[in-house]
Amino acid sequence: MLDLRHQVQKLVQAVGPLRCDLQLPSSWQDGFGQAGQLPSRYHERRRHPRHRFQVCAALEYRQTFPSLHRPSGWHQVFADGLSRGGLSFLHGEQLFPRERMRILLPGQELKCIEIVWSGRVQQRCFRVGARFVEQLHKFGQ
Amino acid sequence: MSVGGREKCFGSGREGYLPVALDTLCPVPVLDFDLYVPAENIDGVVLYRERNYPLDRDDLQRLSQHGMETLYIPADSQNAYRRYLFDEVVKNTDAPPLQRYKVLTTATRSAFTAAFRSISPDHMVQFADEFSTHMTEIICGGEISVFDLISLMQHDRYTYTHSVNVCTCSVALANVLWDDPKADLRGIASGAVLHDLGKRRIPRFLLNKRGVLNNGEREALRQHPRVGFEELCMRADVAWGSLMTVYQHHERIDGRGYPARLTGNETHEWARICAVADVFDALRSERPYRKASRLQDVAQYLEARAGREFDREVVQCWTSAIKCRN
Repeated sequence: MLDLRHQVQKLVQAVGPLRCDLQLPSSWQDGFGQAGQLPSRYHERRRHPRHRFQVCAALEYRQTFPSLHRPSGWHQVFADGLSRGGLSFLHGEQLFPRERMRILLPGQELKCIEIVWSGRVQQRCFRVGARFVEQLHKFGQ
Repeated sequence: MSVGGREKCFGSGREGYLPVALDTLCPVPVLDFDLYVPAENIDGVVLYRERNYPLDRDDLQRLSQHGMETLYIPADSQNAYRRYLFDEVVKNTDAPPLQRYKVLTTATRSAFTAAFRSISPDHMVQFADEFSTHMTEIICGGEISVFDLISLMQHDRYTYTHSVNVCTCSVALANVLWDDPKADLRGIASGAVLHDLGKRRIPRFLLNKRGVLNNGEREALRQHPRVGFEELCMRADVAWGSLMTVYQHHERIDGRGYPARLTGNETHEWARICAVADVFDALRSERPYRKASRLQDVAQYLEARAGREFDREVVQCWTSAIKCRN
């Protein structure tokens, strides 16, 4: 867990205070930092192989949809898997398909992502799938 | 048989004429289209009332007494007839609410079908907006019971009929549940009309498949809430509650729904209302793989799942309303 604390400190240094509403599943408490290739499920259509990539990351909220109020700010999330085309992460709040946000992963540049799916894991914990995109929606910049 | 009016025979069949139900008509000082009745003995029509002449209450009564359930208008008067229906019946607060409901739900079928088939969702949003305005006005007028509405509902396999029924049930349910004149019933109605928008992208053979769906087919079908949501989410003219109705109407209280497996109150209230209305109408309608259920069986089905799959308060409110005849 020392590594996790170090990662969060680095993120806070980079982006400022992080809000964290996430309740991490118990299976994650001990296994943080695992690596290796992740299998695909039967209905998934993947262009690139997906690797386990359990790190702490910072997610930036901005206005995403006209009818949804998303106050700007940074949130702490936990990346779960990573591929060339996108990533999955755990977050304390439900996100919606087509929302565009920015994410900062340790040792990488700030990236724009578009949410593809979001499913509840447990209370205050959603697994989110996102793909990398070029830019945010124009009113979100 | 004579039902009055100036008669003129057009005995060469009914080609070029459209049938209109007598109970969609109401008195009007000036008709904007010619009105025909079926000819006796031959497969033709007879001019009953020429355009620019009045149609009064006695005329309608006389037609009804003669058992005329269906009249005819020239096919090229379709737009004039639709205008008449909206201006003289749907918007007419003096017309009986059940007649207004029936006219609204029959006169908008072709507009819905065209909008649903259109590639852009613009037409569907516009349709939902207009339809919701009339629907909430009629249901919230106070002189129409849930039992009456249910008895008027048609059941078939068309998306239009299902969307209209789900909209009717959602508005009626929310009206009883909230008992708040300021409640956004138009929003809930609009969400209900749009709730299956994503099915436009689902192959028809899957929607109508008789047998058991395999995993891949089930997964494809389960994409429709997400697909519908994605089509609408960037629009400023669709309320968040309506969007959530589209996205969350298959979520269940116990977390076994989709797409996000939300539990309890994590699902938007409008979506919890729509979920009950959706299942209610689905069970009341015949499907390729099963027969329609009786009203009391549907009520039992919902009650058995209240608090587990569906919001308990919503189910209790709805089952009480459908059992009440007044």
